Amino acid sequence: MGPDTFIDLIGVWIAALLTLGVYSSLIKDTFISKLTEAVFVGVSFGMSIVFTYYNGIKPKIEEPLVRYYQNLHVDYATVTNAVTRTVEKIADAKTLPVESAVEEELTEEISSRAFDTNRFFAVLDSALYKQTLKLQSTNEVAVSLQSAFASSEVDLKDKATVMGALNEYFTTYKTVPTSRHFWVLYIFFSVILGLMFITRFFPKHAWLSRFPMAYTIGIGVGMGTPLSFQSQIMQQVQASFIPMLVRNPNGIDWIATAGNLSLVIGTLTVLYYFFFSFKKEDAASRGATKIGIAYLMIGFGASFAFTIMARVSLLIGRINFLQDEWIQGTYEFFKYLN
Amino acid sequence: MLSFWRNNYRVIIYLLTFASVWIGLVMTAKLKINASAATKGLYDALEQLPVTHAAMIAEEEEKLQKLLKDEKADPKAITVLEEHISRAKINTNGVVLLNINYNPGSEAELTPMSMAVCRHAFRRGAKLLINVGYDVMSQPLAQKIISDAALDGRSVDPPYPFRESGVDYLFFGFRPNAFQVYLQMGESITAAYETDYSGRDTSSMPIMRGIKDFSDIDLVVTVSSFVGGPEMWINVGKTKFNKPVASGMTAVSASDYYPYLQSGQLCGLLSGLRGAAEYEALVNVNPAPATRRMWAQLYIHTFAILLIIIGNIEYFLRSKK
Repeated sequence: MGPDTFIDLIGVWIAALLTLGVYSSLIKDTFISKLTEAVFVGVSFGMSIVFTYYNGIKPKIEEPLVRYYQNLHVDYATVTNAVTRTVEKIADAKTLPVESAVEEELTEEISSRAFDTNRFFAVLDSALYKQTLKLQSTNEVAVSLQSAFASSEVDLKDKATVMGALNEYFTTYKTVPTSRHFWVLYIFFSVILGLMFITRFFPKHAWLSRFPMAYTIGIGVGMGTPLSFQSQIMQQVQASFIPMLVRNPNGIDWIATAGNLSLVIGTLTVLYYFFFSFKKEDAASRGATKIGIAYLMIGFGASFAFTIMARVSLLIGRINFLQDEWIQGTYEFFKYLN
Repeated sequence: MLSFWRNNYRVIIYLLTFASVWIGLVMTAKLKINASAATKGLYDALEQLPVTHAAMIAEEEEKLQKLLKDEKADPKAITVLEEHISRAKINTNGVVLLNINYNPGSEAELTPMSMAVCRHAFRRGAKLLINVGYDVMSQPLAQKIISDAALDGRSVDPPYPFRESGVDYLFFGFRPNAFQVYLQMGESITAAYETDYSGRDTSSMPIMRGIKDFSDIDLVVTVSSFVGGPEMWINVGKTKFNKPVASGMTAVSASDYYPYLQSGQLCGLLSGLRGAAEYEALVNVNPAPATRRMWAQLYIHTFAILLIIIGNIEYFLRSKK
């Protein structure tokens, strides 16, 4: 658990001192506690920006656009030759790499089927129209084709048919499909929409930021509402329609019956408590309201207890770190050095 | 005595809190942990995965036979079903999607839980796909959990051999706009995640042979510290794709999710450090970090109860004066 290298040791010490720095605010707000808070927020944001670039902007915008530009200028004959050579090699190998008995059985089953041209074209499309595929690289083209055919259900044992189908495929093949040009327009539209958020920093043009916000909220609401309605309202309401008397093979299951009864009473009385359309002055209404409040209090109490448990867990985690990795880890690191 | 307490109670309480946690952490005696039904729900779902997977294949084959006999059946539907069955037969032990969605602030509670679930999936021989949710800071945490669990199979009894990235498990990493990405997984997982965490092409990975879209996933486990995180998977995983969903979460949010367990929308629920310790006990993890921390939980909870009693006594003493 402890540090293995000197760099790790420095990291552990920084983490330990920052932990103590944050906890020092329990006694008094000091320069150190303020500094640790600022470091925490700064590091979090800095890391978020870097990760977002490498996991979002780079693979989704930068690399596909670079590939698009490169593939526009690639030599058509080079690509078709590379594809022909690879498909020929796969067809010559007769069988695809098989990793288990189940896969062997499946390969036999696939071999028994007739050659399906449409499936063959679909596999070629999936291999050659990848957004990040570099068509100049014959190796990348070969790897992409091999993996696409390996996971496909197309049998290439009849080489003459396969090569005939490939020639047919080349009659309509383009290194960059028409849909990709529209896709580039869509990317530019998305980037411009995203950049509009930055106009919030300029009061004169801040109104522009409403467009991406409306677009984002609109899409989120549009996609999320039907699902949320179904899972958070319909299915929850459905789950509250439960039998008031639960029977088991030995007769009545009193514990389950009490649980179901409690759930129904709780649901109805809490809903009634939040019903403000008329005054609740009669004894029955007041009684129902009081039961509803009791249910709410039990709920809040449980939530509060869970909250304490969670916060304590975080403290335990930090003290565990100080004990195992900082104190014991440092001791063992120097003991090992000596 | 009372005046000393009144002047210094904050420092005394902090020191005693610190001491009760510290004493709990140095305790080496074994604590007996009984798993709750909520925790067992997830354990059973993972344990029974090969059986439920085989049952699913049998059901699909029956459906296919019916379609083949039906002259009016859509040929496209037959092709889709045939391909799905072929893929399902490759994943004999099932496919688990683990979604890790928390930041370092919740690491103490949720890392032991995620680690135990990973170890259990590896031991059952299930293919494990891991993605992260809304918080980009989940990525380094998830990466460490997966690589540690893959490397060290001797920390569970019975143990499992070394698990290889791209063959036994695949870590996709972070993608912005998680909800849209999850929905895109319904059409094609490799389109939603063209590359994995380290930039390798996912479609050429051996693990993806037999996994095309969400229909090939048998169980979704989400470990989340964010409000709305488990709901999102209930919406996508359960409601849209009809897959069993289980969730692990911090104790703070656990009480909000028990209704989903009762309605069957969640098949299991791990609540905070206790949920993690229960899962470790079920999987036989050793050393078990969450179980070890339960002693500290026990001491500090006892201390909190004592403080409540002392506070009440002080209140009554004051009101009498």
